Amino acid sequence: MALAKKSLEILTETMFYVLMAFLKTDMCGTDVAAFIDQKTKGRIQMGPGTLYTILAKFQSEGLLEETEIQGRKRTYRITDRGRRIYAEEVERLRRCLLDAEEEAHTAL
Amino acid sequence: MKHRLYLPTFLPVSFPDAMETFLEDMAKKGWFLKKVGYFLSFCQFEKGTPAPVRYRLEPIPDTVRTPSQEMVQFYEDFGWKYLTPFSHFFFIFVAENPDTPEIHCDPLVQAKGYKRMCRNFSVFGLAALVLLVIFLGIPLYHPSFLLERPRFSAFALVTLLAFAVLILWSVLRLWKIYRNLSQGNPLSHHKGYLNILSLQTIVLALFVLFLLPFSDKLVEWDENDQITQSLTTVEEPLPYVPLAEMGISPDWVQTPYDPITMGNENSDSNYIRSRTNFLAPITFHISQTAYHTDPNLPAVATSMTSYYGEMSNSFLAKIVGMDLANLYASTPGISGYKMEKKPLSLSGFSQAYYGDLLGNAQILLLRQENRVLIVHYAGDASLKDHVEDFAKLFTQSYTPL
Repeated sequence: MALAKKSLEILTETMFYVLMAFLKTDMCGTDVAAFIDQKTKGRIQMGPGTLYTILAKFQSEGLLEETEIQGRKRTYRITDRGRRIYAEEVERLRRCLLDAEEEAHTAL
Repeated sequence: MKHRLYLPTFLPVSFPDAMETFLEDMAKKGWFLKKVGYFLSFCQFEKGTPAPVRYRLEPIPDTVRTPSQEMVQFYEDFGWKYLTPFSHFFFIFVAENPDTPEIHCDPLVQAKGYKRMCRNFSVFGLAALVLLVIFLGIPLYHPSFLLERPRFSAFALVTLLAFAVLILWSVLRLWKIYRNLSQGNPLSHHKGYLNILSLQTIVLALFVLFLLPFSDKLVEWDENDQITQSLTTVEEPLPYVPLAEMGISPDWVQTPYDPITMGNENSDSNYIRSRTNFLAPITFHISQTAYHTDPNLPAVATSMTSYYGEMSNSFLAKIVGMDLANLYASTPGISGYKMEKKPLSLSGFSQAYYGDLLGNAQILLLRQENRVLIVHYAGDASLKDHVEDFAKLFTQSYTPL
């Protein structure tokens, strides 16, 4: 996965999981990190630097929006644009996986 | 009372990994960073129990000197405590718990922070290089300075070039970090810093030596290269045409000082100054003055200043000749006056021209490859009528005094 230069045509793996975290509920930063840790079984340990940058970028690109500020804690929710980009990325990954499986079968 | 330690790091901002390693090594010895000073990056440490804490340098997102409270809280929620800014480019965070996750887990996302920083640092580096180029251009604008102060010039040149190399080195290093990150390679957090510190210290020492009286010493040594003698005491052949050959009046006398006012008896106005150095093995500056004997007339009746040089190469002879000719042509009190150069047809010379200044002053420039002669004459005779006499000076060889 490569970082898109202008828009978010392709998401990095961490970006993909950050969007996934918001599908069911609104979250703050530490919730997102806990979700990804649990979902990837500790394979991806989200750091504050990466997450802070991604949240800021997603907010500026309109994929996430702030819902609540409690003290210094901010909670975000996914937007329709965020869901659409997530769905497109899932579809792209699904096609990649199908191609890989097809290639593996023909190789056998 | 808390034990405190202040250390200048001299580690450039382009080596965040080396700075992290340095701070972690200090923590292992029980010295914990408290803050970094603005000038010379003075680090303030406090004594504690040695511990394997981690320090991380985060590129500053914009032009602020302190992070937002929200950012500080965000990092703290993950176990990273904000400490201090480092220069204009980084915030330093510390994690005391070894289980705290790394600040970054995605090099491509981390690259974003470095890209902004690389751009800012490149602008800063470019501005510094422009200033250096201006400094380096001064000797080219006034090349005879190189001959008068060869050691000082060489030292200044080397010091400035060293700074230029350091700045370029830093800019290239930052872009290399950015390139590695954007290719998906995580940033290393362990890098030796002693070699970087040594290099930085040497450059700084050179700079301090340059500012301290060492530069005066160089000037002094440069000045010791020259010998000044009264023109009458030298018997060896010298590259000049005596004033008397230009024509002298019975009302004039060529004495070391003004015979009427007897002013400044210690200063001989008919002298030769010989200088030798690696850029110009032989140079002579010859001054001749004749005075009126009539107290009602101006003291100086006629004068001639000659500069003869044998340079290490013809290019140097050319630019020094032009520089001195322009210098001799400048008329005090008349700014913007431009002397008109009239070429002379003289075979065997690479350059030959004559110039008429305001009043009765004239200039002659002759150059034969790496040998150059510039004459400034104020008197009734015409330099053009004596060009052959000056050209003959090139048929002899001279030795420095």
